[in-house]
Amino acid sequence: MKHISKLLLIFIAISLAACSAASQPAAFEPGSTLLVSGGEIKKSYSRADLEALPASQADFLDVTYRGVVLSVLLQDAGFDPQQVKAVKAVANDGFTVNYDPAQFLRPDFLVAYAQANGELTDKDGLFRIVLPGAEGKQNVRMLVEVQVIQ
Amino acid sequence: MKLSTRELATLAVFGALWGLVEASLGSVLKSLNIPLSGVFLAAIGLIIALVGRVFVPKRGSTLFIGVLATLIKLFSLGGVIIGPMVGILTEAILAEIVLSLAGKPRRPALVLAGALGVAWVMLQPFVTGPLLFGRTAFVVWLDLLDRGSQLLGLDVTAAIWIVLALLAIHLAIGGLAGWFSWDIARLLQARQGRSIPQTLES
Repeated sequence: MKHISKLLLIFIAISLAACSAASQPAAFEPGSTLLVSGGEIKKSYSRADLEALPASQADFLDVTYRGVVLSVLLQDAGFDPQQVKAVKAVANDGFTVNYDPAQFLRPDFLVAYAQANGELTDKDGLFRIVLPGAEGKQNVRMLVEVQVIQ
Repeated sequence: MKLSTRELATLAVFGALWGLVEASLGSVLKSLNIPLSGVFLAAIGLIIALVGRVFVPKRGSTLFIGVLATLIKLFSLGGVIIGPMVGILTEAILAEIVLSLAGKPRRPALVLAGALGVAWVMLQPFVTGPLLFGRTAFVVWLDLLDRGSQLLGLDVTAAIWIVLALLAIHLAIGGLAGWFSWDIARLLQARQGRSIPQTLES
């Protein structure tokens, strides 16, 4: 029986070692564009591109942000938001958050490129998600990609 | 289930201990966003509950400990606690079912109870996500694959391997928790000078 205990311990140790080695975040190059991708579609947006789309405002933690409603961005990229099953936001450190339709179809779900009274902070990066009322980790900062899952 | 005052007090101690671990360590681990924190928290909680079961080897005692821990979790610091509360209670129910079916506490039963209890950590979002938080099962599935992918360094397209690896890790950690809870219970009882029942002899 003690052999089983040892084997279990060894298995867990190896698993955790492998996990810690593997879980180094896959860093993305902090480019100046936001990639919207899914299936055949891949479209990059600069800040100027986003500013050319209809702007909206939303609040998170007492800060008002300016950006594009995600469903508007998806439509512009060539997706039908009603047909999308999920959206994944990817940060430049590899952190990801998945959103279901009840979230990403909200009219106050923004891809923000500025604060209402100024620029985004260094912590925010060039783009960030703003989802009012949701917990902090769902408001992804340093956003580099929006993956669309249909 | 008829319990003496001494047994009730013993269960209360173990229940309070599990609840305090969840309320304190749970809040810290959640805020630190440590990988597999839920797994280790469940393993610690189940060790406490399973040791408690060895101390009071009666049907319902593990569930009793779990209910107490769940109530104490109510006083937890931090955000949403309904998920962890459901988790504690379900882990206790699973452990209780295994131990009740097994009869008197034995090491294999504790190992199985620990393994199933910790495996629940992986399955729970598929239940609480849609039912309590309005999330679709599909998005919960994507979350699981993302977490597994980041943890194991596998591409998300290797879904089956990610799920199998995660399940194996959960079962192994839970099994080990059950294994150690048996040894801890024996050690504690020996230190208390209690006679170790026949079922506790390995």
